[in-house]
Amino acid sequence: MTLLTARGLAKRFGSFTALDGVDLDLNRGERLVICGPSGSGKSTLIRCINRLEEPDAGTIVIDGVPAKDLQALRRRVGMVFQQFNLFPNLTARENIAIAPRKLLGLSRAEADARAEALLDRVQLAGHADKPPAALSGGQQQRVAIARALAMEPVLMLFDEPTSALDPEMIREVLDVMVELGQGGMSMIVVTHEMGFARRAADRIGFMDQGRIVAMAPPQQFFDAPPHPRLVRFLDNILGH
Amino acid sequence: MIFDWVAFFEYFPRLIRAAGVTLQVSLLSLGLACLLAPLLALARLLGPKPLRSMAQGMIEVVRGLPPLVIIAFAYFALPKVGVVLSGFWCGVLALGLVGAVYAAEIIRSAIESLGCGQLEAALALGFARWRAVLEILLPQALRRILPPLTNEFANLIKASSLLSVISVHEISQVGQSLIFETFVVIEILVQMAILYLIIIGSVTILSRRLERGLGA
Ligand SMILES: Nc1ncnc2c1ncn2[C@@H]1O[C@H](COP(=O)(O)OP(=O)(O)OP(=O)(O)O)[C@@H](O)[C@H]1O
Ligand SMILES: [Mg+2]
Repeated sequence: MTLLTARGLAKRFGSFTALDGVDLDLNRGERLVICGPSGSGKSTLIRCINRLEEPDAGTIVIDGVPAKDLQALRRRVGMVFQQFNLFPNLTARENIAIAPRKLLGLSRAEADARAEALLDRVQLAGHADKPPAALSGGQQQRVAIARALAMEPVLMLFDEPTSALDPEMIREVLDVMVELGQGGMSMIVVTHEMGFARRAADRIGFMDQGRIVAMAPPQQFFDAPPHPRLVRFLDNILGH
Repeated sequence: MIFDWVAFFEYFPRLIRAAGVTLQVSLLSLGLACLLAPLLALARLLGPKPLRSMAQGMIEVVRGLPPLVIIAFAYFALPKVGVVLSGFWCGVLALGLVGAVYAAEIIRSAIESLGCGQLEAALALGFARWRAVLEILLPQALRRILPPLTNEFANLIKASSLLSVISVHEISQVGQSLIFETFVVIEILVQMAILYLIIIGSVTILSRRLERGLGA
């Protein structure tokens, strides 16, 4: 059942403690939303999971295997960034196809077919030949999601995927993510979109000063916030 | 002042031959630079600490010295350690090294200017670091690399005139001795200028073509 087990994750930047002993469990197919104030360590936490940041202490086990081989681990964990980070010299199709082709050994035709299918899935059929610059922010982020899915990951990480988007494009990205979750994908999503959290999350975690200080299913998280700082945070973010 | 057309055509063949030497030295050192530069850049970007420091040290030293000093070193110091090369090959070696170092810095900064977002995206997909740099970042950086690289190669061709001090019979050396032999100054200077412009111009045009090819 358990897909990911993290114990005692710690990370310091100089004298600043960004992660202060985080424990985290994720079940297969579970959708976890993480929120918290700026600088609380949300990005650091999910970047430690695919080891874009090397934790100073702690253990991470994904799918029963301790993360030894970095590349093998990252091939099974997809990541979506706030700034999309698409490769600007490649078309949408190539952005998606390049990793399966070069890393999984798919032929060009196979990889392209996989890319087309994924573009279809994120509602972007017909945009395959466009470079990122010809796509809107929301479209770019959906290509980025498709790019991550192309490696057929067992876990998807999202770091504020809609924070860089104009309001009218947030919805189209969130819809894709909701659908992904409904399809059974295990996901950890750092976001402040509380509507999405309510709609799609199995559990919501609240981070503060490098720790997960509260974790609860949406209903309880919003209606009976289990931590005083969370109450203040929700007041701010929901504009009460 | 009257332009002496007879003198102009009398000495032209010798200068054309010299231009051949300039072209050879330039192309060979350019080739050497193209071979070495990516290796240096990758060593600086990706190498383990000692390799990175070595590459950086080499780059700093070569950039900190006038090319003339490096050429002189190649010509006068290499034989002392048992490496005896003709002036021509010393020139190729020295200019190749100089070109490689400047080109390496151009490549490195172009790759770094892509920002860590591209690199992280590639890493997150499961690319090893060196593959991410070679297969994802470098192709993107190419378009930014080419214009300053062309500049650098033009400089390299101009620097080949320094080889006159180690008696390589390239345009500047031959031009100078012709001037001293004949006291025909302007006509010969004009010929030298024309030949340099033709060589450097062709390189520039070629790289513009390449640039446009990449841009499409
Ligand atoms: N590479 C780094 N070097 C130094 N400090 C860092 C680095 N990365 C993060 N930090 C610091 O660690 C702290 C936690 O950063 P992190 O990015 O995880 O926060 P966050 O919760 O994602 O915040 P935000 O909502 O602003 O994205 C911040 O104070 C940040 O300044
Ligand atoms: Mg963050």
